[in-house]
Amino acid sequence: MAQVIADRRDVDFILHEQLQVEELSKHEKFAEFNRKTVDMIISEARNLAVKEILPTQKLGDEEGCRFENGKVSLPESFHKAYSLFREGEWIALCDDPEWGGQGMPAAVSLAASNYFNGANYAFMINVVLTHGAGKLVETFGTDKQKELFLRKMYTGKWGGTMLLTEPEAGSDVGALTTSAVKNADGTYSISGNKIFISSGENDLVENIVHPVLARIEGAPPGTGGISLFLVPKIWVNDDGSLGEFNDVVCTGIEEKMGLHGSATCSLTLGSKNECRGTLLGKENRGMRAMFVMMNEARLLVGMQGFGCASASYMNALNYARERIQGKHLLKLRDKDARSVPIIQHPDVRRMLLTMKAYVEGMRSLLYYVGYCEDRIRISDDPDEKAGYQGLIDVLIPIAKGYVTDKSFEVCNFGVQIYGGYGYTKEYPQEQLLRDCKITQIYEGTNGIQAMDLLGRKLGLNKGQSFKNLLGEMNKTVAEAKNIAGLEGLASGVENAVNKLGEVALDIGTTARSEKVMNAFASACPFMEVTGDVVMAWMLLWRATVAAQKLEKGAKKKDAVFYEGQVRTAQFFINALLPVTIGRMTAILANDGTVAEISEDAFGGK
Amino acid sequence: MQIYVCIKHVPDTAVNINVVGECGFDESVKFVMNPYDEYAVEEAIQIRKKAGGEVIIVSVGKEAATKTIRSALAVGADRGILVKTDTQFLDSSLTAQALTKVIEQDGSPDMIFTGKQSVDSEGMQIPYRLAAAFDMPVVSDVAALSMGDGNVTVEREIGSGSREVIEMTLPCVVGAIKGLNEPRYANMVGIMKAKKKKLDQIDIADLGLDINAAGTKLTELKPFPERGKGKILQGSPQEMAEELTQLLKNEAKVL
Repeated sequence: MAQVIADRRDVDFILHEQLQVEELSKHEKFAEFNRKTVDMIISEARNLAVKEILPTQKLGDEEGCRFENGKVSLPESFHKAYSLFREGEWIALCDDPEWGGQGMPAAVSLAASNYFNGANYAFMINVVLTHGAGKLVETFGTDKQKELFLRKMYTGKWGGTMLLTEPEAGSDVGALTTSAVKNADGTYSISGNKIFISSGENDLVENIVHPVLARIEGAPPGTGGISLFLVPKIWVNDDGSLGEFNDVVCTGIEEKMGLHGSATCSLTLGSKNECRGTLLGKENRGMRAMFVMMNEARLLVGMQGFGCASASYMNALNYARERIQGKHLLKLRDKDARSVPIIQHPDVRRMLLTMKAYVEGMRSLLYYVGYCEDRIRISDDPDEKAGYQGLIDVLIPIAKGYVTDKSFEVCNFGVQIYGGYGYTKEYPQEQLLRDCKITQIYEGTNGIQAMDLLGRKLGLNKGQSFKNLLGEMNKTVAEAKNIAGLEGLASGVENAVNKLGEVALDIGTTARSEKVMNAFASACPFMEVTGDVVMAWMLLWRATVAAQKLEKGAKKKDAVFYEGQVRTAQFFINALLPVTIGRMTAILANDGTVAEISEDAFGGK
Repeated sequence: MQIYVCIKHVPDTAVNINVVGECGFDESVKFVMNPYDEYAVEEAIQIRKKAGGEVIIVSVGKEAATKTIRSALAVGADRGILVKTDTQFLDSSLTAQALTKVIEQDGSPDMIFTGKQSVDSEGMQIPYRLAAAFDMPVVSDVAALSMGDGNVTVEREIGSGSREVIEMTLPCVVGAIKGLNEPRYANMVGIMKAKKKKLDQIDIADLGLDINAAGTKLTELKPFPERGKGKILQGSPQEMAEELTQLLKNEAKVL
């Protein structure tokens, strides 16, 4: 049977053979998560995703969200899926069981998340935002705030959002104007306008808890004067009961290119001066709180984009195996030759293999970031914790920026392989491409991700974290060199890793010189080549595991999978990585045109 | 209420089955709980919720069947018993004997649920054989069920949308079909609890049964014959029409 959303064999390969997550269960924190349990969790997540969430994907896209009299209705089919998701207790997978979480390793939760988001991430947004907002309450909330809100959020009884963007404050958060005035009872009166708020208003839940970024009257301008508040849609009384409507009004929803199942709301707070909130964390420390949540949020957006790519690849692969069209290239002149499945045509194979390489490399990367978090959670050694944290920090812009860029490319191939049918609404490919697009834009555009990598992460811990990442890659290279048949691939990756080190040093130096504009003009290409080398590393790592299993003798079905791993690494390293080497040469050339060209010279006047 | 639910670990109906040897197939494909059995499990759990008691899952199969038993435990069954065999296709008579023996050894059933048939061997005999062995009333193809006091009323699908309404005394055997209920999904707490629940394994030989003494024998598995190649006629419309007439007369013999 053809698989959908994600290849289960590949998911299991990463968890059990590449990362060996069962090792984590030796620690008391994850003692309950042995291999059998992990398998069962993934099976049940896949079951729910395929049977209940996937069918809502097209329905949600076609029906969309409706806005009427300040109320937003989500697609009808989302309601059943949401209640099943709640009943299954899938919302707070890695969180503290005390508040309704499951305490699961992050690597495992990402595998479940792969299925859920790949099934319909427009639906999943309602869940993940609730979780993210809950995490803010868990991390920064007072005991009282936790008691009032947290369990209800982690169990999905109430929803959650994030109110950051305003009409004049998007990428530049420091420009926001929503204000907060302290009341005698310790609450704050909030007023302002927020836009692009996913799930800001919806009919899935009885109450919505909005974390809101606002400036307390008299606070300094810029990001240093921003505080975070907890503003419920309906006021929550001290005994936990629901009180009055809290003057959070939805004034409209956006018409968008894709992601039609998700309501993107404009919210007006306090238009009748009756909107109240409580301070979450400390005054003027709102941005700092945001940064704490940023890694999780960005990794998640990477998973949203990747979910589309993963599903698009599975669809394209199934289609290419079944769609009969055209004779085999070697039998073009044979008039009796029958048409063949398009997977036999060289260009279709090239597209499929490109999709496979990125999808598998990205899947490994995303799960690996989760795995690093797990290592931090079970480690008692501060140096080890700091080391893994550094790896995560450097990899986050890749896991968001690079992954969503490549996911969009993968979805593009996914349309192309279907030919004209790919462009029609009869097949899911065009929706996946449209839905994927926003992941390159929100939660910090990919331009901002690239600036984060170059401006913050490259120099993090005096450059040691980036060096450690290259060190991890070199470990894999060293191992691969000792495996018969992989020596050539290992030296291909080694060459790229060394060159990346050179590029990093060069662009880092330029960024600190008067040619800073030059360096940042290459920020995106730098993120791309870094991501490419990470892909090469992951694929070589996979091939290393696979080649060893083949050497030991594997069952037929496994052997085919392992052979596929070695072949994928071979394709990426031999056919795609040389392009990366070329891109690195271009970055090193430090051409100043982008910074120097005058605005008028762009023409069009 | 002590409720036994007999389930089978079967290949997913959507997978391609590749025959290996005479009576085997490539078992590396995805296996699932026999779909009809899902309704049986769900019904048992719902009855236990109201009436109290215990839901015991019983299966006859290879060791891999423990996976399917665990999935029943994850949705709320209390414990499981596997009668281990080394074949996927045990004859219906032996399967029923094995189930009977193991249930008798374990306790005294107030109800026994099965699916109406397994989707792999499709013997459709287990509910009836169990009923005979336990001397209980039995109804299969049950699409609705309501518990009474010492009895149970069931609706049995009899085709073309009609149903028979039957009242049975307890204890009894019920064969479930689609529509009886909506089987639930496992939740995280259920999954975590499932692995700690008791799952006994008993070798079929230890029940005193001889698997070579089966009354029926599977002699061969044959793949479904591939559809024949279509024939495209060539020539002028008249030639093609003539050829077609000939073919319909001589080959298809319909004219």
